[in-house]
Formats: sequence, C-alpha cells, structure tokens
Amino acid sequence: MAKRQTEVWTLNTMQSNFFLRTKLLPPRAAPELLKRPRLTEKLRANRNSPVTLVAADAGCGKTTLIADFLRESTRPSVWYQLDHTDADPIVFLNYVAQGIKNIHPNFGEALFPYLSEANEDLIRFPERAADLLINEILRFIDQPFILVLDDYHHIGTDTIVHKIVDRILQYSSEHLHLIITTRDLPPLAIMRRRSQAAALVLTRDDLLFTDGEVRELFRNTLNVELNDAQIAEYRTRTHGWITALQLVRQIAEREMDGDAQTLDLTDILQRSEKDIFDYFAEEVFSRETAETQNLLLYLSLLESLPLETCSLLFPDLRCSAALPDLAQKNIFLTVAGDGGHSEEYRFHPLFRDFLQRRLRSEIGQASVAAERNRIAESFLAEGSWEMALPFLLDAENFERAADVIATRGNDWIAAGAITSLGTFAAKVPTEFLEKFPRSLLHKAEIARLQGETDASSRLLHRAVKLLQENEDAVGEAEALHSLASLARRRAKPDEALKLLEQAEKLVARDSETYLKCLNTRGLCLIVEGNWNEAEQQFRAALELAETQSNEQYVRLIAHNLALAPGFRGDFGEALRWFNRIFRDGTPDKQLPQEAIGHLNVARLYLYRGEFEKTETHLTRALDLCQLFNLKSLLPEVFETYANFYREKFDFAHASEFYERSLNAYDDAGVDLATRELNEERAKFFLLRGDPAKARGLLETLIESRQKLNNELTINTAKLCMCRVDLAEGKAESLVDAIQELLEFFHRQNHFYDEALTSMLLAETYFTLDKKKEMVAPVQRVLDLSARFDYEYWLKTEIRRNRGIFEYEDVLEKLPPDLREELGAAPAIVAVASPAVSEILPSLTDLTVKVLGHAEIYRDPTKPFAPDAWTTRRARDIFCYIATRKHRRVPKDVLIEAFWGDEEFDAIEKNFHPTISHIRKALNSRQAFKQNFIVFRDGAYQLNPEFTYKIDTEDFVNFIAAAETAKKDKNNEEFRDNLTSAYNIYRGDFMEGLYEDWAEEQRPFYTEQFSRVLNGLAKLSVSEKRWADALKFANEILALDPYREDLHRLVMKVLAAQSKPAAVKKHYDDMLELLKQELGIEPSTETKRVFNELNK
Amino acid sequence: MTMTFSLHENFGPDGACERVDPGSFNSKPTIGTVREGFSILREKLRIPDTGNLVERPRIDALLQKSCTQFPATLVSGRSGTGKTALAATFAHSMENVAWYSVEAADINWPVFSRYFTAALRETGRANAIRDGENGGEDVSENEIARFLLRAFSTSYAQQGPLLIVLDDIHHLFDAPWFGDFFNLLLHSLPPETHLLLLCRSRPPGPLWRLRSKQVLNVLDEKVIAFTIAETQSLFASLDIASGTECAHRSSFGRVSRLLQFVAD
Repeated sequence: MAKRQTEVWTLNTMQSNFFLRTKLLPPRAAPELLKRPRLTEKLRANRNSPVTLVAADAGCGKTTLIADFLRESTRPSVWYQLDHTDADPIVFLNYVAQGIKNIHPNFGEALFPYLSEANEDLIRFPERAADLLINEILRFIDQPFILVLDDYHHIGTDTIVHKIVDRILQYSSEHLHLIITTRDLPPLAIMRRRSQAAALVLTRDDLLFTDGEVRELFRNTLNVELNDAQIAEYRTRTHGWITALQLVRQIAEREMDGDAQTLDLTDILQRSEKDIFDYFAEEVFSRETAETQNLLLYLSLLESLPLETCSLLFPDLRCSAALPDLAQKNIFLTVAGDGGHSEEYRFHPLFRDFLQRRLRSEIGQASVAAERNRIAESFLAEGSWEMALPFLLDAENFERAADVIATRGNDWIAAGAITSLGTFAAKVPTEFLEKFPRSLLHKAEIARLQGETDASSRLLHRAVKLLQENEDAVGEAEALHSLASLARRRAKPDEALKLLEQAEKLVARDSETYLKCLNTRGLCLIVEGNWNEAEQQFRAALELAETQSNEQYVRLIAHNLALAPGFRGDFGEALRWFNRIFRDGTPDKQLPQEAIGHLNVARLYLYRGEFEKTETHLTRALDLCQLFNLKSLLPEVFETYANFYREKFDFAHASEFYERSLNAYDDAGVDLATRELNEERAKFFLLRGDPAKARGLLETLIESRQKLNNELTINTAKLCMCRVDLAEGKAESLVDAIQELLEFFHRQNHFYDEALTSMLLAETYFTLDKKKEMVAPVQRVLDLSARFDYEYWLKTEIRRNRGIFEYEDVLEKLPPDLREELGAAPAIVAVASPAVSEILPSLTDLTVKVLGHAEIYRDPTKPFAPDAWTTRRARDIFCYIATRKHRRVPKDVLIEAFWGDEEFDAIEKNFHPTISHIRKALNSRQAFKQNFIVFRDGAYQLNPEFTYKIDTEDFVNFIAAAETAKKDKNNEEFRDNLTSAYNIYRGDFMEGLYEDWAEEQRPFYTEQFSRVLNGLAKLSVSEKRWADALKFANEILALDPYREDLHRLVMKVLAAQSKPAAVKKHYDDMLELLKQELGIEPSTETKRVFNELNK
Repeated sequence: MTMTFSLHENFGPDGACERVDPGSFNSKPTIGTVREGFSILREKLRIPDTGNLVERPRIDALLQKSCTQFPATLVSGRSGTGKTALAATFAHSMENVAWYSVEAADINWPVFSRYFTAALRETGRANAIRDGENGGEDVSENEIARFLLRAFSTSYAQQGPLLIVLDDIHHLFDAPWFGDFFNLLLHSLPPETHLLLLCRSRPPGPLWRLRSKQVLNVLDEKVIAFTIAETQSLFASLDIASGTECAHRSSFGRVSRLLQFVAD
C-alpha cells in the first residue's frame, strides 16, 4: 500500500511543469577524453567524507572530470544539473529525491507527499525537509552513493537551498557523498570547515593541466609527440587552461587533416583568456557550414537544448540530425541522456556567450528580442508558461510577462516555485504589473511567505483598488481575503472580519473564495474567543468543501472543527471530527502537521481510557516527529506517553517518559515554567504518594502562570493543588476554593475540568463527613459524564471513592452497569512511598551487557531478540564499537577486525548493509527511533547524544573505585564497590564468541574478575564471614584451579569453621589435581599450611 | 492534560500550523455576537440514516402510544444507548417530521431559534417567523413565548399531524434560556403535533410536575435498553448463534456494547 502511495505522489509531483527529466542525466563521455588519474584518485580518496567541492571558472573541466570519475566509480550516483529555477527549495528537493529514487526505487515514501503539500512549511522550516531527506536515506539506503550538484552557482546566493544543503552535509549519514561543482564559492558552512579537512576543495589550480597531461592530450588525441620545450611553452601560454588547450587541439586536428605540418600559435597564446577563447571560437565557428552556423546562433538563445524542444522551436533547422553531429564533433556541445528524443545538449557556457554576442551583432537587438518573443509564445502555446517567462523578460516584453504572472501565478505558487516567481516578478516594472492587478496578489503572497508582511499588505491594498477599477470581483475578493488573513495573523480579528464581510459579498456562495472566507472567519472568531460562532463557520465551510468534493479542504476544516469540542471537554465530538482525517485503515499522510493531529487524537483517546488507540496514535505522532525532526512537538509526545503510562499505573515507564520530555523541552529551548508538563508531573507525584514534591511543582507553576495572567491554566494548576491539600488532610479550608474553581470552569464551559472539580468537591465534603452536601456535586458529575461520555474517568472515580458512591442518595442515581464498578477491584490509590526519584532508575537510552552472553536492551525489561540483528556479525560489531575506548572505532579498524581476510568487493558489498542492520536492530519494535551509530571523522561511534549503560565500563569503574576505597581504608566502600563489580560480571566477555577481537579482550576481564573475587574472599576472611569467603575462593578456583594461594585460603577457612576432615579432603584433592594435570607437588608453603592446620 | 491543536488558516501555500492553547484567550469563550444570515447546515435537519439493525416493535409501540397520550416524549440515555436510532426509525415511519440535531454551538438563542424555525420549514409548512425576528442573545421569557406563538400559528397547526424531533438537546441544558423555552414549548404545542426530545442526561429542574400533568412522557435508558428477546433478534439478524445471554448481561442491553461484543 505504502509503495503504491509513493508512486502516486511521485507521479503527481513530477508531472509538474517544473520537472525536466534530462536535468538528472549525466553528461555522456566525449569521444576523446583524457583520463586524469591524479584528480580522480583525489576524488576517490575523499569519497568517505561528506562532500567534495569543485570550484573553478567556466571552461576548467569541472563537469568533465566529475562525469569521468563517476563513470569509473563502483558507487551508484545521482547527477543533477542545476539552473536558476532550482533556487526554489521544493524544486531542488524534488529533483534530488527523484534522482535518488532512480537508483533506490523505494526512496521517497514520506518525502514526495511532503513536498507536494509543504509549501509554506518548507519556506519556514527548510531544515525539516532536509531532515526528512536524511531520515529517508537512513531508512531506505544501505549502500553509499554519490550526489552531484552540477553548476551549483546557478541558484545564486539568496536562497534557502543553501540551508538545506548545509543541513544535509551536517547530518547526512556516511552513505551520501555530495559533489558540488560551481564557479563561485557557495555560502555553505563547509567553506568554514575546510581547514578541518572535512571537505575536499578542488580549485582552478588543481584542474589546470600539468605537463604530463598536456603531453597525454596531444599524444592521445592527435598522436603528436610534443617535446619538453613545446610542452612547457603550451603550458605557460595557456596556463594549463583546458578550454584553451582543447581549442588548440581542435584547430591542430583540423590543420593536420589539411596536411599542415606545423602548428604555431605563439602569438595567439600570449593574449588574455577571453581573447584566446574568442579567437579560437571564431576559428572553429567559421569552419562550419552556413547552415550549421545559423543553427548554433539561434540555439544559443536557449539555456539548455533538449532535442524535442529544439525541434519544436526551430522546425526548419533539422535539429535532430544536426545536434548529434555537432556533439560527435565535440564543437562545444556536450550531451546528456541515453539516446533518442529524450537527449539534452548543453552548450559550453563560454561558447554560448560567444554565439549570443555574434547573433546580436548579425541580426540586431530588436530581432533578437522578436525571436525571444516568438520562443516565449511557442512555450505558452504548449502550456509551458514557466519556460516562457524568462524569454519575455529577456525581450523586455513586460506587459506579456505581467499577464503570464497574473494568470499563472497560482500554479507557480502551488508548485512551490515561489523563489522563481518572486525573482521574475521583481524584474517586471510595477506599472506593468498594475495593468494586470492579479499579478500583485501573487507578489503579495510571495512577500508574505518571505515574512515581509508590510510589503504584502501594501501590495494587497493596491490590488484591491485596481481590481475594483477593473471590475474583477473575484480577484478583489481574493485580495480582501488575503488582507483579512494578514490582519488575523497580526491579532486584529475585528479588522479581519470586516474585510471578510466585504470579500464575501463579491463572490458566489459556492465558490472557493467564499469557502476560504468562511474558514478564515472561523479562525478570527477563535481569536476573539467566540468558539460557538467559529464552530458554525467551520461547519458551513465543511459543508461547502464537501459539496465541492475537495478532500484537502475537508481534512483541514475537520481539524479546525475539533478545536472547540476538544477544549470544552466534549472528547467524543472532537474525535468525530478527527475521524474524518484519521480513518482506520486509510494510509497516513506523512506531513508534519499530521503529527499534531495524531497527538491530539491520542490525548482524546487517553481521556476516554481507550489505551490501544492512544498508543497507536502516539506511535504515529512519534514517527512523524522523528521523520521531520519536530523538536518542539517531541516533548509533548513524550509527555503524553508519560501520562499514558501513568494512567496504566506503569510508573517506571511514566517516569522514564517524563524525564525524556524534560530533556526534549530542554533541547527545544522551551521554558518549562508555565507548561503543562509540570502539572502532569505533579499529578504523577501525587499518585505516587509524594504530595510534597507535587506541591513544590505546583507552587512554582501557579506563580509563573500568574505572571502571564492566564486564568484558565492558573485554575487548572490550582485544582491540582486543591487535590494535594486534600491528600495532606487540609480539607477544612478547601470548600470555598473549590467552589470558586467550579464556578470558573462552569462559566467557561470547560466541562471536563468542571467534572473533575465537582468530584473533588464531593470528595472534600465526604472527608468532612458532610454527606448531604456531596450529593449535588456528584449529581453534576453524573450529569456531565452522561452528556460527554466520561465513562472511563467516572468508573475510575467510582472505584477510587466507593464511600461516596455507596452513599444511599448517590447510589440510587447510578445506572446498573456503573453500580457494578463498586464491586470491582479498587483503583490504585496514592500510597506514601519514598520520593519517586529515589526509587526509579535514571534514564538510559541503551544498555549493553557483554560480560557473559551479549545482551542489548532498550526496554529495560527485555533484550533485543537475536533475530532483530539480521546477522550475528551486526550484533558483534555493535558490541565491538560499544566496548572500545571512547565507544569509537575507525572504519578501517572495523573492516580489519571483521572482514580481515575477505576480498575488497565482498567488503564493499557487505559493510554498509551490516551497519544498517545494527541501526535497524536497535530500533526494532521501538516506537522511538534513534540513530545510535554515527559516522564521524572516519570512525563509527555510539551517538554521544544518548545515554548508555555499558557493563564493561561500569565493571572497570567499580574496580577503580574499590581500589581508591582500599587505599583510603574505607572497608565499607571497598566491599560495596567490589560487590557491585561482582554482580555485573555474568560470565566471560562475549561468552560463546570465539572471534579474535573477543578473545583478545576476554582475559583482561577474567583477570579483573579474579581480582574482584580475590578481594572479596580476603575481605570476607578478615570479617570472618566464612561462607562468603569459601564461595568467592571456590569461584576463583573454578577459573584457575592451580592457584595454591586460594587453596591455602580455603583450607584456612575450613579450619576456622572447625572442619578438619574437609581440610584434609581439600588438600588431598588438590594434591591429586596437581599431580594429574601438572605432574607437580604442592609448594612448600602449601604443605606447611596444611601441616599446621592438620596438627 | 492540555490540548494542542494546529490551526489551518487557509489552503495551498497559506496552510500554516499554529499552536493553540485553550487558555490563550481570556475573553469569555461561549457567547459571541451571532452574525445575521449565517448558513443553515442542511445536514442537521435531515433524519439520520442509522441503518435499521433490527426491528423493535416494543419501542415503536411505546413511542406510538406516547404520541397518542402525551404531547411530548423525552428519551434519555447515555451515549450508545440507541436513542437516535430508535427515533430515526420511528420518524421514518411518519409522514411529517421536523428533525433538528442540536450541537453544542447552537447554545446561542439566535442560532438555535433559526435552526428550530428552519426545521419546521423543512416540513413544507409556512410559519409566521421571518429571519431577524427570533430575539437576541439575551432573549426574555416573553420573547420566547412570542416566538413559539408565531412558530405554531393557527394556519400552521391546521395542516395535519407533525412529529418534531430535537436530538441531543442536552447541549442546551446550560443555556440561560433553556428552562423557559422547555416549559413554554411543552405548553405551546398545537394539537396533532408531538415533540420527541432526545438527550443523554435529564434536563435541569424537576420533571415530575410535567409527568403528572400528562404533558411529558419520559423513557429512560432502562426502558430503551435491548431486552434479551431483542438481543436474540439482533444476534440472529447478524447470524450469531451463541453468546446472547452473556452479551446481554455484560452490556446491560446497551446497543453500542452489544455491537462491540459482536465485533470482538
């Protein structure tokens, strides 16, 4: 299902006008290509680092070098030829994703749907898309590949694409190597990291031909053997500039075809590079036929030359025959593609400039403009408006350009090409845009998306006036609606509502604009606190959206419709709306905002006690949080997980997730002072019988919330505090405070809070033995529970407060099924216990136990099953990394340890998949996916962002602590630390594994354990704990049966226990063992001890 | 636990998400000025299609009897007790029905009264109320009385039997005008008009006076719960042969639980 969905998304996205398949085709090899091993070797050596940057002027051979390198590389690669339209992040990411999908068909499951709907989200949070791309690479790709961004300079400096590339470089896995070719140094962070050797930068100096390469060029392509002096001369004259050398070579080739025996270009080569180029270009150009010259001149108007496009635009020029011929002759044309009509030709950039200059001088500026207009109209006739616009702008046909922007702007924006549209619109003088005022709407939208709200507002006001003059009622209504949106965002709902009223009068009641107005009106009313009318508006909008059969609108409005019932505590009603979005069995839309939806649905189910559904939606929310790296939402998901476990009385997990939530809030930089987390934690502490801790949290919370003057949240915290007071037996003073809260929640129509408060009031009356008074609040509880289906909560309360519900006047009001709850097992009630933090373990993300059989845990209750690892080697490699110094192993060391005897090809094939197996194993059956293995600076290591508990580290640390304690003569600490070390050691290091690396480490730990036992045995003797002494000594002897010192100790202990027969037997057994196994007798010392003990 | 929602302002490029907390707005959240001429949602005025699971002649007879003996019937039961289904089945058997599914957002009198009027109009009978004449937010008892008088004008009442169904009327129980409306409505009903009220809990105020004066008949969830015989019919219609008694016992005859039992 998921795969088919991806295909649909991909198709939809890629059918956009903005996608040209040829941009993902690498250039084909030129017929006479000079190999440059000194450079390709550098590239090869750097391919395990994140990036290679090739930065040099036009004509230095960047593209040729990289294309040649890729042809010889065993790694799969993606070629992406950029132009100015790729400055739009959506366009850029679509190409990158499609390129990767071409080599990994499963790729893009989440990315394509996101890109098809991201738009504003992507502009506001570019790193989110980058994270999604990185996560998908991690998820789907287990073999390294190379991504080439060719001609990166085309996207300019003012684009958020750089942020995306930076993010990819910063966090990408070792599987992605990026090669960027560019004429200018891009504004990327790698430029700052160059000194750290994180990026290889090949510059013009690197690309210039060496003497040897000049010799090879002439030898291979012309079969001319140059002498040293000639080589030195050519190199000096051309500075090794490959274009000049190629020009020389081409002319030489033709000279030689004409039987010229000598080649003297000394004068030419003394000129500047531009002159050299122009001279040789003129030479090459003039040798072509008039027909070919004409073709080249007119084609120079096009940025790229897809064969089909060329044939369409220049039907008389025989492009399909001429272009392949020119490419074959290598006349400044390269070709990408695999033959046929889908091929694309590309001019050498310098040659295109040359041809354009020449065309201008031959036919004049006006004719060039006319030709551009003709091309533009051809594109427009084909529906390729985005292709037409640059030609109109180059021809300075601003009126037509403004017309295209006005009529096609919506499509442009919908395709996500906002940057392109903005750039084009900026080139059209205002007077022309104003002739087509709808173009101002699009310009305003771009300004708004770029955060320039004042500029956006000015443009919209102007648009309203002009559209009114033009009697374009729909356009005017759109402009008014956009102004209303701006006003709402500026918290001016009154102004927004007036604008919407004007807009609505201009359009039909079944139009899309009217629908937008209804929805925006609803949002304005929420800002005003008028929830009821907001609901009315959303309902009307929903009905209209359904009439228009627009699923996207239906989803969005259904989400908004859930707002009011959710807040007032009508959870069933809220779920009814959410169910329009999250129907069981329908595939998820993998969009960041869906995470919020799932989180809310999970909360609603939790309120209703539907735990299975709660967990399902929480898992989905968590997945999306991780997929999009939604840092601000992640803590709320953890918090809800914690509440979920709290409700299930699984306090260990609840505690773990509260701690995760705290950490995640910290990571997201969110001030916790007023957040709900502390209120929830207070409830947790109260439930665990620690009201003092709950009180502390609540006092701080109320104080912070009072500063914000947020009455509702102050009162929810106060309600919790009243519960603490009651738990601490302070019922006397509570009634008034609770009554006040009750009135507040009732007034606000917060029914759930009202029900909780009524119940608390009843409890308080019950505590005060005022049973008659408690009947009314309980009646309200029953009434609200019936109205809003709080049955789960009510049942919990009935079990918790039997005394109240068994009271005669209350009991008679209970329906029979609820009366049954009185007979059910009591709910767990708060029991005074040690402070929770003292009894619960601190948060550990991963536990690794290798002393004994290897066991790795994320859930502390059960280790990963062996089949989670796919291969045993994957598990062993993980253990190897985890137990090395700094939990880090260089890649080559890893290969040597695990693939030492294998062929390079086998290693290449198996290495990365094995690392993927480890990552997947560590996330198997885990809701919370984490990348525990990172690749940094040539080494694999445990991700330092997480916390680990590794038994070898603890073991060694306890021994070290024991030694310190011994020096300090602190027997108690000495014994505690030794005992801790003893408890950790479950058996041999990586028991059952007989690989070299494990066997090398094993004796160390065995030896250490022996020391622990020795220390414990001796300590036991000194403390006359004979049984312990014997136990520890025998354990050492089990490890090393020939240690006579231990045999002597055992005999002494036995003697101390007055067991002479046992002493004698032990000695005899030892005698026999030494004789049989080693052929020796006991030492004199052992004999002496025995004799003494035997007296 | 606190709710967090994303807000979708617009569509296409303007579909941003924002965090909305319930406490973000300190203004009173329930009562606001209602715009004149807001859209009437036809869906709320349609008799719901609940699917006729199983015939319940006992309930039909009860309702039929109530129609003949009382001007109004109140069916009270918690969520999942089958109120709407039985009322819809009954309504489908009647010729003239004005159905109105009340929602929480209808707690404002201008909204409620417009929907109430619209529901009556759906029966094809003209009434004397024009939009804008319903009364404002703070409607008085007199205004409600005048409203009902116009709603049930003489000419209107002469057009034959009518069933008015107000579903989920518990959403209005906390409205300041509800008590007046409830009492006046019961006493304003024209002859041959029966009012069927559906709600999850009982309306505020004592009902005994209304019951004793034969104005209102109350069917609570014990009455509408499935009997063992009805449960057997239901299970037979679903081709389930066993477990009827167990299901009936554990569900207390609550239809949603019976169906859950079947699903499990």
